[in-house]
Amino acid sequence: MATKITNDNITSVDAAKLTGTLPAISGANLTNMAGGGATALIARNTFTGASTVEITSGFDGSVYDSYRLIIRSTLAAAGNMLAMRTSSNGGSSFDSGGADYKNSYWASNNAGGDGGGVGSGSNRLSLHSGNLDSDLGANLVADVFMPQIHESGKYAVFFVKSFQYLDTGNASVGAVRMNTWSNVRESTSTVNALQLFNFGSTTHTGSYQFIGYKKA
Amino acid sequence: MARMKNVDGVNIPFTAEEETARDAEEAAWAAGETTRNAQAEINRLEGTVTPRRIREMTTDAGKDWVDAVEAAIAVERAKL
Repeated sequence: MATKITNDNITSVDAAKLTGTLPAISGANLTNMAGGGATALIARNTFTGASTVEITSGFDGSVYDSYRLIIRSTLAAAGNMLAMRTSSNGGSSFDSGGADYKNSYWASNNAGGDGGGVGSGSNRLSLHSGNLDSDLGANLVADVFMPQIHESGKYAVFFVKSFQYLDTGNASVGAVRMNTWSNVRESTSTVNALQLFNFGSTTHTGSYQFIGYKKA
Repeated sequence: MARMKNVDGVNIPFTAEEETARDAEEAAWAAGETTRNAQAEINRLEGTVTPRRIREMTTDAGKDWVDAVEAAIAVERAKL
């Protein structure tokens, strides 16, 4: 295939003749590309001294089937738990009823404690187990996968893997803890915003990446 | 100092209404600290009774060890 230019339009390109680099092209101009299952970085943001972190844009059921949220957070003081809540009104309010969510988990720590269970109902989507009441400077890394946010008539499910490590270890919980959670928002309302928040009075600092998995 | 929320990467001060709601949430969380700590300690203690510890209950020392764990669990349960 030869490289052809007709009336100032490039109508074909011979790859063997392409010896230079292509110019930077806006993603908006890259259309009709096979994208099913491909990922797109919807947002990456940092937060410092935040009481809550809210993601209110980027949910788009016409483009994405699934989402992934990668969180790196450091709690500023002891006695706190980082968790998540959903919204179906774009973040005007977040679901906080005592039976809005259900969480099941398995967790272990390096002090020899393992445990698991299913909660009867909760006002939050949990990201890690137990509590940090006696620990200071807890660092949490969480990977949240959301496979059916846009499925009609289905509850939104959240698969969480997280790892927390402590600047100062504690005899009761150990210095590290791994957690695996399967959580659900018990409503068929479409989730279109998320909130990260602490139980407790501290703030948290870190960053997140919000990633979409394309439908097609 | 007013609390801040980070919305899509932008820091925004809490409204007075949000401050009030947050105050209530934090107070409720603080009030539950004893219960949470007790439950966490129970979970930890339960996790220490491993299959090896159960096998060792054929000895007096093994029985005593498990009895001590059970006693510690009872102390924590009393806090719930």
